[in-house]
Amino acid sequence: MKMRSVHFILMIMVLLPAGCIKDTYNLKMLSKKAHLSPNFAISAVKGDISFSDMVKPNDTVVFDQFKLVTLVFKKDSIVDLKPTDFTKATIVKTATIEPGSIDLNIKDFLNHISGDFQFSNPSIKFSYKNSFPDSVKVNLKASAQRNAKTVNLTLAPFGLTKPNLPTQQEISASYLIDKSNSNLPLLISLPPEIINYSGSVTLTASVKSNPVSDNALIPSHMIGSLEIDIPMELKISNLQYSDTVDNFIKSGNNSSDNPIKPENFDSLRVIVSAKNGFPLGAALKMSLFDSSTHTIKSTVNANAILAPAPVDANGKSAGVTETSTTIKFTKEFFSFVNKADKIIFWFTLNSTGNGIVRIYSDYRINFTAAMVVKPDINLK
Amino acid sequence: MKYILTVILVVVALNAAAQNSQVLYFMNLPQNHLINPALRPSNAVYIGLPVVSGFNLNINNNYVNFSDVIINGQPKDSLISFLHPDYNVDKFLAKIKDKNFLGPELTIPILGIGFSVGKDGYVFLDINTRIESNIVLPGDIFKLALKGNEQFVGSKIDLSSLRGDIKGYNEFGVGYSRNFSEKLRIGIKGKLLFGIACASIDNRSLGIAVNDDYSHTLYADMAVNISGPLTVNMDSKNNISSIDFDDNRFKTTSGIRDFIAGKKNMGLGLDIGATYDVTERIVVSAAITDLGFIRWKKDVTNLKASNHFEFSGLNMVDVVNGTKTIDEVGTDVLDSLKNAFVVSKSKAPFTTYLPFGISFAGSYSVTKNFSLGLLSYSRIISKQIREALTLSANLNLGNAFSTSMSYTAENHRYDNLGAGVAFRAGITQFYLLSDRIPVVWNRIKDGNSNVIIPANWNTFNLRLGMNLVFGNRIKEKSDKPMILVE
Repeated sequence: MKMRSVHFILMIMVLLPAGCIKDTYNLKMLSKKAHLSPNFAISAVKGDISFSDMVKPNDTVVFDQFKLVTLVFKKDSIVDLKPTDFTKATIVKTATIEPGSIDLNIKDFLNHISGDFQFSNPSIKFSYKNSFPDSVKVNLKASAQRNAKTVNLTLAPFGLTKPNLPTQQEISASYLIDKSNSNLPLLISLPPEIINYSGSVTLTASVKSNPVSDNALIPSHMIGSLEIDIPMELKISNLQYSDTVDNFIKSGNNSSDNPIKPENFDSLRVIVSAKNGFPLGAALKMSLFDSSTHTIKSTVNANAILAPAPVDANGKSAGVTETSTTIKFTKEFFSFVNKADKIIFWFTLNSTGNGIVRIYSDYRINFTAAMVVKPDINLK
Repeated sequence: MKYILTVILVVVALNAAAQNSQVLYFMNLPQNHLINPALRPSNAVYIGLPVVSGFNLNINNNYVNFSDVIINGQPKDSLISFLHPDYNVDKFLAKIKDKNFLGPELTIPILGIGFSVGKDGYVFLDINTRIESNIVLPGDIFKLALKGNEQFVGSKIDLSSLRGDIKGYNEFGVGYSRNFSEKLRIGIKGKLLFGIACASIDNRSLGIAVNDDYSHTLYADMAVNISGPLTVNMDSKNNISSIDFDDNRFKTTSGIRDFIAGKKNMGLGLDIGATYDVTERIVVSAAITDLGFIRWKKDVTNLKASNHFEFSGLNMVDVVNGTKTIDEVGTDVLDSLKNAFVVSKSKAPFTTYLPFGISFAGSYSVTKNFSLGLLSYSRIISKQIREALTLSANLNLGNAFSTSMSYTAENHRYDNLGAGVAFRAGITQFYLLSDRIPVVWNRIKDGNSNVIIPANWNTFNLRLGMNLVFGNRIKEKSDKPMILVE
């Protein structure tokens, strides 16, 4: 028994000091490189937005009783004629409509777009008040101008209604100019920066009058104004809006302390999901541009960020189209971020199919955009 | 980088858990009544004095070792950390469990007395100061930090197992054991507990659901209960503005004494155990220890937050219709998040329960002095059960010499070799025991300094100290001679 105990104790005595150094770690040889590269995903933005959320009705944008969106441009008093404005003739007297223009104030916007679109049913309402007892005919000349391009209205002279004397001293009425009597759709679809107008008004007396005295005897007056109505009934083919902005992603000069720099991003994915109730599809392209060498360094393409909604026979949206698009920003893209001083955006629109679509104020788009970012965070 | 590593090393090493001294169970030491009050030493009397009675140090964590944090790189002499680009982070995460615990428990014996009463009775009195902590880090925290949240899309980041609990208390225990039959011995110890300080996270639910559309739902139902010389100050929006430590009470001896005495935070505890001699050679035993609670009433602060918050992106409707800027929308979201988890503060007393242990053991006496033992010890901490299974060979030569060798499977490690030795010189009994003897060590060099650390620190246990012992009870043989000579 004693021998057994001694053996047992000896075994412990041998085991205890048998501990040995397995590895030596020299912390001076420890690499200081330390980084984290997690994939973080988060919802960025969302929205369930109708056209009326985006654009409130005002003097220029009007929603009609059917909620059809219409652009309205008005020009008051393009004609303001008194008898003294007419030539002193005995039968046919003529007055001149002073040349003027309607600036649509979209020149900057037009400078950024290319491609075709066509408005199907624009109209111009010539509203007037007329107290001339004689026949009045207006010869309105209008032309649309965009850069070097010009489109003429080609409107035939039209007559004004005259008051029913003696009970009616003045009449208010209007004359509609549209695709049936003019070249208006082509003019509006240019689309114009400015619409210039001019023309003349001819007054034909029913009886021979005294060219000297009658103007003074009859206090007649004719005032006319223009209202251009452009219902959003249109067709868009590769309408592209492009803009160049300063490179806002680029690291600043004082960013050395910032552990997260664009060039240290491994990747970024933007996942856009949408239920689009607009009969318009959209694509987006973004390029890093070096203006000193006029070279595009890297491009990110999202060909179908929004697909257009289906439409019925009248061009009205008849449902929604769901899309989910991933826009990928690669490590290569981020490597060029600091080599570009500008970013060029291209935004391309297309309408559903080949026909005319109508835009109503209750169209909606429901979207979410999530980001999955993989930064390379330097912890050194 | 060095600081990060240092923090990791310190956290893992110092926050290690004292669990139980498995190897102690079958040794002839007065301290073994701490893990089963039915066990008694062969000494008639023992006295454990402050300081010299020793201490109990245990290290347990269930996940990483030094060699998991730092490995050899290229060239061969170089070292890389788990944050280095060349380190395969998946390899590191493979070591991470769903629940990663750190549980420091320190027991400092102030006074221990045990003495025989009557034929087979034994009375013991213990005064200990105990510091216990239990920290559980959900595995998803590590996955989130190192690999991000995309991996959780369609599921949730489960943080419900997050626990944090630290408490210090004084334990006054009086116990008694005796034989109820020739074979059955039962022991019981009642304990009066006085809490010194406590901080406890009561986590009823915590997590983040990451939905398929990358929206997130954060939900939390948590409370932090504190009993200690702290004042938590809130601002007008019910956010924590500052925490003040009341150091005035430690400027006088009576203040320190009052704090350590913890008279206002009282609790009760109970140990109960039994041994049964199945045969002359086979003894089975069972015990439940540290069953108890402390009611914390002094310097109490309760902080509670409960709600859920869903973030599915900045809503652009207001931005599009021009009523708000995107900055304002972002600020609104942050405000909503803050308001969703408004912290309410109160001073309601709270109760903490002690982690308790359940042990089942059996021993087979090969000879009079040599036995083999099998011990199962389960530690129940909140909703977790930690299990250790120990095989041991034990040599007890009266109380002159006692030794034990053990093999323990615990903390997902199956290579824990332990040993204990106790010997008596006059009235003095020295003991040294460990559930895991670090056989393999690593040397950490940093400039001129060298530190030797165990290569594996999942389990490290060291109990050493000294008792004053008097007398030696010799168990009378119950068998009778086969031939009776008159």
